[in-house]
Amino acid sequence: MKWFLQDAPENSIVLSSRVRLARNWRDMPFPQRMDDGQIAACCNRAREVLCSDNTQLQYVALSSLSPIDRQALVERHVISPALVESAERAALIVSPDEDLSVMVLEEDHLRIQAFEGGMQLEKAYQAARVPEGKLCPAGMVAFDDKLGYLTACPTNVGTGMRASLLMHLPGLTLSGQIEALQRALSKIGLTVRGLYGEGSTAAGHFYQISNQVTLGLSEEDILATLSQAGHEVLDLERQARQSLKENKGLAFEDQLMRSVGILQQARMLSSAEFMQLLSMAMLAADLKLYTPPQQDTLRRLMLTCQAAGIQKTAGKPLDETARDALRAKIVREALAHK
Amino acid sequence: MICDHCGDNNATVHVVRHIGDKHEELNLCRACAAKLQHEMLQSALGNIGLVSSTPPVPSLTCPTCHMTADEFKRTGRLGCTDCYRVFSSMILPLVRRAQNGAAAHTGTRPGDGKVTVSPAPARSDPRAELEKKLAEAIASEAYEEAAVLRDKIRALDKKEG
Repeated sequence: MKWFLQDAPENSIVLSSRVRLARNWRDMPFPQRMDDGQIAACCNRAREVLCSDNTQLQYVALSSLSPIDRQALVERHVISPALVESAERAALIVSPDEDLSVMVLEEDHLRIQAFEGGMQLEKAYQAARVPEGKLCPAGMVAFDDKLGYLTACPTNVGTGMRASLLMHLPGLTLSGQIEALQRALSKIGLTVRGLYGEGSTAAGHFYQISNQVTLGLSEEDILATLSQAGHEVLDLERQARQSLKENKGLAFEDQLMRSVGILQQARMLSSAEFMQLLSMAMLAADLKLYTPPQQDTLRRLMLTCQAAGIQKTAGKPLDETARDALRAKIVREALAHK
Repeated sequence: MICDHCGDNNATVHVVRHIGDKHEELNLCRACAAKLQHEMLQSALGNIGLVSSTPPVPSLTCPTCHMTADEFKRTGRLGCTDCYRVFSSMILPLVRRAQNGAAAHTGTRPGDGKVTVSPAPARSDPRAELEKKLAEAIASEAYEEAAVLRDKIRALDKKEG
């Protein structure tokens, strides 16, 4: 997950940029209608195209992973919750850094996605185009002159592209401006979702902003709109943070530093409380009120301290109480003054 | 007593209906009473638009993957690329609604080579921009504007510092 931890443009607020391309082969029915033979053929084709030329890409059948390992991949954004639901048949092709992945047999035959740290949508798009070019040469891919790339759900046709920015917006959340932001962005065809995409809640003030419209706009237009909106949200978030700091003064500083204090000392932390406190600690670090032991300490914790990540660290399934205790221990040790 | 409706069975249900000003009493067997109740319910639901009053049309089916229109309506997913042709009358309005009215693809096509996406315009340095404006304001002796710009630069420094 180097991409998530490295220093990248604007990454104190924009945690990552992602581009996902939905593609289907024209000689097979969509996943919902495939029989066992077609499922095997689809997985094998993706594997042969991408994994046979020493590209370091690894092929993983989801059924070969434990439920905890699958969930940990969701927590690290490598796969979607929907892929886990099709775990019996689905596969994943992934790069060593997990910055490039292809979900095979999610809603479509292929969901090709690339991540970059910070605000780097164009770079993520170019990265996704490389495996897409190999997997989907002309003549093999389901494409219609008028509707563009054909997808299992007809609302994704056109570019089949979903680009998104994962943003940390505590300033706009705490000052009650998120709903207004959602309304404004929806007018330009963008949507605001929670940390894990569709249907998820915005744990710890983390939001995904992505394009809703995939037809009638070129990839370039979509990326430019999202990038411009992302920069504007970034500026608004900076202003909101500054105004909270100036208007609420010591009370705000106290609230932030108490969050850091709880993270440093708590003996039990639920996942929701952890995300909330972590968000405040990240804000404290950004406002230079608090210096974490390492620059990437807080981000690393964010990736590894969700429910499945904790159990992966433990090497065994844990009940909720044990998870909360282990989470608190990991956080405490990571934030201890060296 | 014999059923007023079928005239065969024993009437065990007494029904009183008020339709407008009309008052009607019926003695029915259990089967006819159930049928009447069903008809009245259908007619009422039809009036408020919950049930189509026209007889159901046999569902469209894709000849390639055997996806039916009902199944598509229920799941929102198509079975194969041919479904786009078979169900086009259902799909096109749906697509237009979801896509802010757009109906034609303008993006890349399969086999397009490397696509160059021009990078987003470089973010200007807000401090440098303000300093440039400040220098211009001073040069043109616009001191009020210069004071405002100076305060903006100070606020920026404070924010970053």
